[in-house]
Amino acid sequence: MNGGKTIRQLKKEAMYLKIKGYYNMRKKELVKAISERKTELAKMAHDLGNMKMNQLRSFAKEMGLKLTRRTTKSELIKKISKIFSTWQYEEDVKFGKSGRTNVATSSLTKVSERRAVKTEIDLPKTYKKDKLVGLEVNTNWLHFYWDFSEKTKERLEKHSPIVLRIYDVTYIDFNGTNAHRTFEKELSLNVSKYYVFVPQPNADYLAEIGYKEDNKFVPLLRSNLVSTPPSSPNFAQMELWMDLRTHQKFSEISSKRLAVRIERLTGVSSMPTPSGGNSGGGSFFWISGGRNV
Amino acid sequence: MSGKLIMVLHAHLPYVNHPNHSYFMEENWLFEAITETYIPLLMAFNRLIADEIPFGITMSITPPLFEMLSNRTLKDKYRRYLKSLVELAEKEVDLTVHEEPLKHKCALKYLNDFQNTLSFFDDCKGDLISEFKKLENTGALELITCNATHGFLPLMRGNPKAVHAQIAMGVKAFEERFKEHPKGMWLAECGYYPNLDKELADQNVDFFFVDSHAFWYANVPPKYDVYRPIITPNKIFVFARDPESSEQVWSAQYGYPGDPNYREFYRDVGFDRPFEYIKDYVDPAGNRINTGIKYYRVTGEVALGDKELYDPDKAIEIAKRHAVDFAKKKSFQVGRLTDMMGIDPVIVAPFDAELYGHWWYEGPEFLEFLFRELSKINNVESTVPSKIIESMENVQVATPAMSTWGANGYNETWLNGRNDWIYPHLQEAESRMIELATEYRNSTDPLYIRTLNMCARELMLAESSDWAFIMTTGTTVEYAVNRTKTHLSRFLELYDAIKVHNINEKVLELYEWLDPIFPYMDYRVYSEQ
Repeated sequence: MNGGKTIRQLKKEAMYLKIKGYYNMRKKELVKAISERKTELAKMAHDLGNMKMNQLRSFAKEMGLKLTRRTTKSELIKKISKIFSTWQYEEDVKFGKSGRTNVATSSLTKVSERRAVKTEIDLPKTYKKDKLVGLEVNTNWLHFYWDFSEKTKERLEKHSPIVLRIYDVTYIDFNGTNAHRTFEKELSLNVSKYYVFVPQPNADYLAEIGYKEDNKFVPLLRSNLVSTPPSSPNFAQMELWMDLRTHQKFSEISSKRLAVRIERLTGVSSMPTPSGGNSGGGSFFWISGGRNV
Repeated sequence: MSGKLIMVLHAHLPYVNHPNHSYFMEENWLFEAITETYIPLLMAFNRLIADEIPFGITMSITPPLFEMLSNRTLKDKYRRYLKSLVELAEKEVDLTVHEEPLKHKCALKYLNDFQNTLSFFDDCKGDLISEFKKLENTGALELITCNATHGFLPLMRGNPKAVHAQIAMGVKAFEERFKEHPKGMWLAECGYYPNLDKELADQNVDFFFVDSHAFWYANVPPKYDVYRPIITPNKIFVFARDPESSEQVWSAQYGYPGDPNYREFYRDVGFDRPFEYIKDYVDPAGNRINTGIKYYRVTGEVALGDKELYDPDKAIEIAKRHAVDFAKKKSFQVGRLTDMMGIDPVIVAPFDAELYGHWWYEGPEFLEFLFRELSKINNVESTVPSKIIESMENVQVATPAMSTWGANGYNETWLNGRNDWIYPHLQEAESRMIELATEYRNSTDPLYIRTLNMCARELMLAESSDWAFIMTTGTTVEYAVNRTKTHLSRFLELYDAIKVHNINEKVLELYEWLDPIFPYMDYRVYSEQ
């Protein structure tokens, strides 16, 4: 599917698929052309055996395959099916590493673009309520989204850009000024969500949105508390136990670790080149290629 | 002393039901899973019972799945699907007489298997739920439920009532369909955060499962690592996944399902046969689909066109060999752990049920062989969580860490640039649902009650973690986007109708017919009072 691809990726794909005139297409046109081309190719892929030699040759030529006079029909079919299968594998969801398989998509891998959207449903772009919501992504990334009432929006329009502030408030009863650390970024008014890199796992964060007036931050909205999950073992002197017959609880001094635990190693064979360069880090977004701006 | 092995199969599909279409491709997800996974598993377990092999297995059957399995229309459609599959297999038997002998051998096997599946389905009158229950009554199978529509709870916690509704409905739905209280609950995607256990305690659920790092990073490190259950401060037992067992089955490089002799998923007659021949067995709109008849094996790292023919006998032998290998590894692991722990280790190995049979065609046989093998080994016993709990005298009290079993262990599969647009809408709908339920908690007007119940259904269907998951993985995204938008916009429409006191009964009837999930829905589950 072409859901998350950038126009550049789409153009590259269109180029490989030998779509004519792809260079001047807009994103929507590209998506459509790619989908049509793939359906066309998929049909062809399964009729290869029935195609005549001259049809095969002209198709191979179109695909940019190098042929000699002596290329036999079976070699040709083999070559062409190879191209098809590499395309298909790019699309398929292979076994995931974690437990999750996706039975749901399996029957549809080759025809995923099959049905056009019948009715384009539009959900409201805004609910016109003041809202700043924080969600945990993982141990070092948080996601915030926001929505404004008409009144707040008007106020911000007068003071653009908006300012997003993140506070580390771990073990703090936050009063607006006592955070361990404060991070800040200016954003344009038409941005309504943002991914934030935070330095500490197992910590509590809050966000505020506001604007700057005479170099002073004026907060308008405050988010819920967001807690990054822990990413390392805790140390404890005491263990709490429960006797299941009497339901009595009792304490025990922590014993030496019994099992040697092997944790999963995360790594890459070469450090990816960061793009942009205005963000603190977070290998996850590099590795997954889904870096959000 | 003997170690305990808890095999957990998590059986789940999103609720896909389109009674307004005689054919709807996504409904095949269910049909394929019934044919390739659920019935083969039931048959394998029944054979073990018949042979008096002692074994224990846990299955979570999620509410959307058992709601679909209880749906008349879907059952009728499934029977039609299976009949047509038998017919296709008959044709394949005739056709392959003139092709390679291995193909013909496979075709005969498919025909035989599909006919057996059809008899199984007819013998139980299409009531697979009762078949699972029968197995449960033997004590070998422990059935547990899941939160209502497999909603991803860690990203729902901003609306505690929405979380409550997911948990409470997960229990209620199970009670309605299985006529018993579920002892355990599978939290969708193993999504857990501290204090979620409070909700489980309120619903009298005894236990749930988490991924390994939930224990590793718990507030107090569990004395026995992931190899004994712990209990939360709210007195719910928690079992953590053993990373070793998962890796042995799953590993891309060394895992069992990738064996070159196993059946290749991606070569199917639905694509390989000439269109004229296959057209009655694929999408009537003219799109080729997987039929389930496949003649090739994994072979190795070769192009699809270069795959070699599949030999079912050879594959079964490999499955048996893998089962022996896995049993041996478990026995060895138990020996090692027992020495270190001085108490029976409990090894928890959870999998998606659909891995077995649908993806890994030989998976159900693997499981059957595994249990036969384990019955011969005296230091490992396969058992179920409730029996472990009964046998325990002491348990460590600790709070597991926030975690999921998704990629990298946290929320990024369900929250990233491809799917983050759904959360503002979902959370708005959740707030509105809570508002409505609280405002109308004492309503006696049948039309309002029906509308409010439908609101709750639309919301819960939109909350299914499957949609966000599909958007991330990238296949059938359009369907997932459409389903999310459809349920949300129907919710907003019904919300407005209630607010302006202008409920259109015809529209309500239509929605009730389209998505009859949880006919016993009670919207008051969302009420704040």
